[in-house]
Amino acid sequence: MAKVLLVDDAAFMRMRCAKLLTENGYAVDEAENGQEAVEKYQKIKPDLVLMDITMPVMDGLTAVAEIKKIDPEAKIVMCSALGQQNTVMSAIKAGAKDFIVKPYQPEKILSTIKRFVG
Amino acid sequence: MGLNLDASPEELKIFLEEAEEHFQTLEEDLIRLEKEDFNEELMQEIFRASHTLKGSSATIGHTRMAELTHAMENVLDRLRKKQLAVSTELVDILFECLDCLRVLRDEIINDDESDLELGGILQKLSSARDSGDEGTGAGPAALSSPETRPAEKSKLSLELNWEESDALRHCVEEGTHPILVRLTFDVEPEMAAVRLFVTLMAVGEIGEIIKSDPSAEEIENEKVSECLTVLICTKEDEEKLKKLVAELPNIARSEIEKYVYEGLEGQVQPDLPEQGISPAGGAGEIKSEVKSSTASNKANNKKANRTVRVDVDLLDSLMNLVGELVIDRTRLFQILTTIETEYEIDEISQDLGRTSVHIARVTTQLQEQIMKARMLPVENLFNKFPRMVRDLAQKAGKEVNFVMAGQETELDRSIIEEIGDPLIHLLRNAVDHGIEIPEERSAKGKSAEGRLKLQAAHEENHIIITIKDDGRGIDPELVRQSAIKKGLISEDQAKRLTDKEAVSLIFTSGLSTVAKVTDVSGRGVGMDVVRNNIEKINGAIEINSVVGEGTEFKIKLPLTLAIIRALLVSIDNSVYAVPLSTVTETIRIQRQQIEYVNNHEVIVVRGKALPLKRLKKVFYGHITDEDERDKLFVVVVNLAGQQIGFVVDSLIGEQEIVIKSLGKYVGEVQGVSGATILGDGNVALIVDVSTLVKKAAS
Amino acid sequence: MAEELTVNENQFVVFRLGRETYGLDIATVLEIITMQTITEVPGTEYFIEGVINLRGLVIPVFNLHKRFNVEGGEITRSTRIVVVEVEGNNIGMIVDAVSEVVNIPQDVIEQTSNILGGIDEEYLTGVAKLEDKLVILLDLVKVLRRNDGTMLENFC
Repeated sequence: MAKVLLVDDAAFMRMRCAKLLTENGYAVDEAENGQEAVEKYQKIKPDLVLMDITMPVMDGLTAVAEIKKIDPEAKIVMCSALGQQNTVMSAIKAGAKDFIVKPYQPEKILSTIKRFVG
Repeated sequence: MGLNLDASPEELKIFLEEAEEHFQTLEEDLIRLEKEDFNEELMQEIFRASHTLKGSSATIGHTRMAELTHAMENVLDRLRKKQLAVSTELVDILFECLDCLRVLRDEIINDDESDLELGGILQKLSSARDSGDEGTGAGPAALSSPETRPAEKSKLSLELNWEESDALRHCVEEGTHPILVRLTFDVEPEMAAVRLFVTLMAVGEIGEIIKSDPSAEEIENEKVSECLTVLICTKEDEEKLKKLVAELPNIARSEIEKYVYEGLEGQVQPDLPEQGISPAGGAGEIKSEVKSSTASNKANNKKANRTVRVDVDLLDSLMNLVGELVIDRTRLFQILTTIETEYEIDEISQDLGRTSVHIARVTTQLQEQIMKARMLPVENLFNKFPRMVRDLAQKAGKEVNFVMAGQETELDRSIIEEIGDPLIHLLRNAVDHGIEIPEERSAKGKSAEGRLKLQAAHEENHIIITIKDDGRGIDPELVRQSAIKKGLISEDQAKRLTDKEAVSLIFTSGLSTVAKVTDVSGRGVGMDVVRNNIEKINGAIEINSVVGEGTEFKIKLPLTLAIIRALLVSIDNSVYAVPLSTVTETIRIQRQQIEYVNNHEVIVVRGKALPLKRLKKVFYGHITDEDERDKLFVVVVNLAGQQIGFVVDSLIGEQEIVIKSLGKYVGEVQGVSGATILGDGNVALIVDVSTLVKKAAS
Repeated sequence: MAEELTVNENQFVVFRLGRETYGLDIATVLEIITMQTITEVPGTEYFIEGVINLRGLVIPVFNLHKRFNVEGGEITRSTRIVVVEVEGNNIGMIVDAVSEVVNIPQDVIEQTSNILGGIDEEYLTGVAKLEDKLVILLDLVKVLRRNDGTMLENFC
């Protein structure tokens, strides 16, 4: 069972997303900011990270860079709101594999995850 | 009613600019298409222009434009696949589309829906598209049958520069093989640029990207494109790549093939490209080519980014300010001369001298630069002519080979605005009256196709525009006859006119407005208007015509409207300026040389009588005895073939002058077209050569 | 306090033309300059003296002596050109001397008068009786109009 790390400071978002993922057979772990995400990544080595951008303590962009330092092969998908194109572009350049745009469409999240972790 | 478009004003501006470019492309290419019949590259360009317009107009939510371009694209697609043949009717329809597109574009500018009905043109497009299926019959005939030409490949060209070719060779040597991937995205993916980038990265994971269009750099700079073309060298086979691509989101269509390249030595030509697979169906075959060429496109893009848009008013105001400086430059030198003659030359005056010279130089450069900034290539104006000539020729049942040259020649934008109508008029006349119908031409031993040439060129301080046809020419005898009949000249006068002078009579109002005469003379409706318009902007027009061989109009224009070169002359102790564009020469004469013809003063110059006009008499109504010096100066001017000599007291010199209006309280003054400010701060009047010459002729 | 305008007062530029004193609403006066070299423009109305260069602008100069048929008009050290703005155009007018700017209360202005010399009543907005003199107040628009009532701008 593939492990997905959900990083988002909004509990509501994590909740909806986690529900969708578990229902579709993924093991879900959660982090509420970039810092926590980096720590958890080291601990649980998830197969995929869904990373929000705007978060307290450590933002998503920094977290991508940190995680890439730990694991250059890390698969990270950015979760962005519209209008964050530049940040997403930076994240992709920093090593994120893809992005999805909020509001989430369940099929899109699933197809994206499937592409990376099967 | 507003259009409610989904775009910011800034975006609309870009959209409009791009649209204009595409219109221009379509305009030029459609004419070429009709002439050259099938030309694949041309066809692709036309298709792309229409296609891009479709995409952009759909994006901003201009549904009518999107609808029209979509219908156009359907036809163009069949055309480029050779399922339809090029025909005049079809080109007509496409031109009509272009006209409609311009109306739709104007809707955006006015933010108001026009009352343009698209029903008719859409109907035409759709029957044109279907006409190929009917095989023979009415409408554009089908060309070759489908068997001889399979569904035409969408030519995909990725031009490689030497570095990229090098990288490609290197990769091939390493044992990877080049594959070309072309991905078409579905409509408006979210964050299109990032989507492109991610896709490019994803494709890049299985090999080395030699080149992509758009490039990673371009995508980072948010260049969004509907298509992504990638040349990748990989150890994997196409199947693997297809699988990878199939998983990528937002891809509407994909084409994958082995990269066929030429020009690399020692390489075995790979197999023929195989059919690509596309998840959305409708795969096309790709032919690709390698060309070692420079990355000139990139350079162009960079250059384009280094421009800013400037309001025309700002340019006008800059020009006025420079005009002030030009006046002060002259003034400065006069002050300097005064100081040097009246006081001892010391260090301070020398310093002033050096500074003045420097300021003068900088002023001159500034003037040149600002004039340059106001310049536009005449191309902007000329571009609409091929289409116009084509339509006119078609209507008149004539065959015209229209050639243009010197489109890059630059003119002040305000002059370009003024010169458009006269040029249209002259071209129209050339097609309507000058060039004969094919049968007539053939009977005369000429080629059935008439030749019409429009040319612009820079000549010293002027721009010369020539319009030349090889039509029937103007018969000076017929012009003489009708001028006599109209009572414009006496039979005696008519006899004395040279042929060239006689032909030039078409520029006089009495003659040129008579429609009947023009039918005979082959030219002339509104020629006086043409002449007035050109002379209004200090230009001059001249005609040369040979019966049976054709007619040439030569228009001489100043580079700019605000500042002109002038000859300063003195009349009754006042300074007057004569625009240099009208002056052919200045001569010094003895009073005894003046002869009288019909009580008018003339002198004989090189065996020809030159009528004289005393400017003092024109302006002050009298010549006193003391004015009757023995030596007189004559400024010879020539406008529309009419030459006269202005008698002045003395010549002062040549100078650049800034044209100023006399203001409405002074009103129009006979013989004076405006005023200018001299170096000493005084005002000099500008001689209205055009009016005086016309008056002298009547 | 004395300089302050009351509601019914207007400021006028007062100048001399021959023996008479004229006033122009200060709002219409742009500046007053010394005599300049005037370039004659042949074929214009008799009272247009010519044109001058006013800081790069070519403006016409009217000769009010000729316009109003007032004697005199020799150029002296006190001769001035009053530059006014009328209907968006700058125009110069030659006067013999500019004396002062005065406040004139509305109630001392009389609409008509029979004590005038050469000047036609139709060019006036009125006459102001001040303590020491009479000031003839000009209606600029009418001054610049031709006798037949058409604007000069239509003159060719």
